[in-house]
Amino acid sequence: MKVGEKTVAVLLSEDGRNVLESAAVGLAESPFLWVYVEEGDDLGLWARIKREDGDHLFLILWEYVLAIDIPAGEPKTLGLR
Amino acid sequence: MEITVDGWRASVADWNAARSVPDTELPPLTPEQREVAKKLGVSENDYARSALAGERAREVLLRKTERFARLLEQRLSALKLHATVTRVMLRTFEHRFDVEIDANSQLVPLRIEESLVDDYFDGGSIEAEERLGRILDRAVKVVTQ
Repeated sequence: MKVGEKTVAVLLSEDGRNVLESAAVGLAESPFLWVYVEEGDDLGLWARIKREDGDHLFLILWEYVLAIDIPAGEPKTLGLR
Repeated sequence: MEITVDGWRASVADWNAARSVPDTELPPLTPEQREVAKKLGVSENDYARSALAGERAREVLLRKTERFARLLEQRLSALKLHATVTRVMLRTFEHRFDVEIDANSQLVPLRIEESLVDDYFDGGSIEAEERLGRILDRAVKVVTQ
């Protein structure tokens, strides 16, 4: 399963939320963080987060991630001759 | 032949393109999507932009899958293998194509890494071309000979 190139809802731990807040990332009241993930690797999720000064790439370490919600969508099919 | 894309993904370019779409041109959300956006603390416009980026990207992936399916048909014909491609599905989460080939009325399932197909089309790789040929040859000959 590869989580890159998707907009996902990440459920962060309290520590994770604190880390992002320390980095001046404005978080919604919801426990989920809605982000575009460019890539996931052994360290965590490389997410694009908009801050006051522009877009930033943040590495969200796996230890701060409790769950990830990825919209799977319905399969899209066409017939060919 | 059936061509399917299962799941979705959107490149940074797709994502950026969706961000530049004016609010008035965003697709309307269903009541269920609105409810979920609210629960997640996401603005309806941001939610709609993600859906739009995903939908546009799926169209591109569908074309990619179609192109690969046509390549498979051509390769089977070139290798003089009496078989036809009945189904090609791109599984976006696994980065893999699931292929079904009808050879002598037997269905042959194949799993082919998407990176191999990218190497063939985007990289122009001769090795990828040879590998694809070998995969088809081995899979089909087992049931036709």
